[in-house]
Amino acid sequence: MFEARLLKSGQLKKILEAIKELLKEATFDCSDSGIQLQAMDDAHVSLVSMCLKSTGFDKFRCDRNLSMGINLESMVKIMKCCSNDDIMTIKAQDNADTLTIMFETSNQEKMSDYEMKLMNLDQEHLGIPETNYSCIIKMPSTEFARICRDLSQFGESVIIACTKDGVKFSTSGDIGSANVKLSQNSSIDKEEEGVTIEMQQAVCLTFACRYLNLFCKAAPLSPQVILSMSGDVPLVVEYQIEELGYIRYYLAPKIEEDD
Amino acid sequence: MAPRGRKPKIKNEQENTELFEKNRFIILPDALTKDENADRQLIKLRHPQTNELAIFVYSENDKTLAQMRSLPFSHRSFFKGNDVIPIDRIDFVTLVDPIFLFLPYFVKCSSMFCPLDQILVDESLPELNNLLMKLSELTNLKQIATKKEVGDLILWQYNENKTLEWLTPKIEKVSKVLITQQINVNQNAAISSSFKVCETSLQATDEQYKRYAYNIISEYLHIDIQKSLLKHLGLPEIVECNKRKADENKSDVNKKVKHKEVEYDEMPFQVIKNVTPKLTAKDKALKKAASGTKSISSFFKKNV
Repeated sequence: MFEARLLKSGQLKKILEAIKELLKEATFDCSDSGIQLQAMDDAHVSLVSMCLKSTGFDKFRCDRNLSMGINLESMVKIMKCCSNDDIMTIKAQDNADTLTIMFETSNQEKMSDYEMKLMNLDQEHLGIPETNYSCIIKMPSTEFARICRDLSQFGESVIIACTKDGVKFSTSGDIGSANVKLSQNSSIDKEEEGVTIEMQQAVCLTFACRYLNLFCKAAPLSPQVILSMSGDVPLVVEYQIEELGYIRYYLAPKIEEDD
Repeated sequence: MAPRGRKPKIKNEQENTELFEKNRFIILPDALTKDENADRQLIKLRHPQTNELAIFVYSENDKTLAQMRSLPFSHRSFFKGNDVIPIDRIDFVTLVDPIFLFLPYFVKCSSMFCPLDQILVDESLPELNNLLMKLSELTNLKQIATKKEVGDLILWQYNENKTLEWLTPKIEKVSKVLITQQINVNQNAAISSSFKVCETSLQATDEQYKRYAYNIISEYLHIDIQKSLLKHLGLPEIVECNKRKADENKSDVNKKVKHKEVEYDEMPFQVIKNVTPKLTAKDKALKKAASGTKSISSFFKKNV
């Protein structure tokens, strides 16, 4: 039997919003320690890795490890039926083929429950090696979203260059070119509002802008985004979900065009 | 199942307007054209496969029974002397062994030995009974039934083994003809007679010929007998795509529609549901954006 109670259903709503455009369906692996999700998008270019710790839930019970194949579009539909402050409970029997999602208002006056069919998904699990990244950039998630959105008007790919001075996002296209440069500013009171760069080695990589834009859908989950980069390995875009866990996006770099 | 004669002959039919509309073009086998004074008459009998009434040509003196298969053939004409004669319908007349027509009746009464006049009984159309009895004199019923004489009573019972033994050589004969006539038995064959397709693609196996012959013969067989025959021949049961059907009852439908129906028949029975998610414009754009990027799985090892 699996049961998880979350005081703010809005959190899960935001999580689903953050992954539903990359993934159509995904397997949620439930264990004692929490809920994990790992899946690649259809094009196998990016990978979403999500972890929700059991301690982040109001109540969490998982007698047996359980993998639930979920159609995210259907789940989003169900999540639209609740308001952000509703208390939410997810339930499934061992070996069940359905998942029950219950919402209750905080004053307990309204209760609703939804049952969703589960799917049998055949997904391969990738092992992500521990990497010491050459550059780790922390910046406000809204700022990152803004940059990606702005640059996507100019070109399809974004070059992210990280040097001692700061980080430079640049692109070029039919209209012309665009460059956004951020320098470190740790003078601001709140840590998440500043831009910090930890750098061992300068890195310059190219990524598909559309994917970055999709990653930015997770911005409502966290005020800060952490970008980790090393030469010729996937970029990691990480959003910490308050108390609950994290969501990480991996995006393979574009191959340098020789022409 | 006699070979079709090639001599076309036009018959002016006045009698039986119900059966006949004007401007029919009838193709008769040679056997039926020799004797001008034959007492040919058109009769309706149940088709052994469909159990619907079909038109047959019966000659009592000649002791022949032939089936008429008609094909709507509108907007055609031919010259006869200086006249243009329109054709609305083409009829092929082929000799048929009456025993095929008896099979359904025999199968119906297969549970016990019965006198013949109790077997060849059409409950809904009793007027056929006499005719059937007359026709039974033309055939050798021993080919499909076991005979038993009790006193002066002669009893018959349907015998499936005998029937299959009787049908098997027929199929072999037909398949031999198919081979010698080089008839294309390829599935879904639509072959132009004016172009020669390269030989190799037309190489059909014995089994294919046998199956094609089986299909021709089974037009006159009830579905149950078809199945046992298929087993008897040792042919694996497959979903037939181009099985020809005796559907004379639909003969008023014009040719175009008819052709369409055949196309539907050619569809496989079960369409495998292919769950391909719909590609929205967004998905397509994402796919485009992904081009030029390495696959993520080339960086991360698969967990087994």
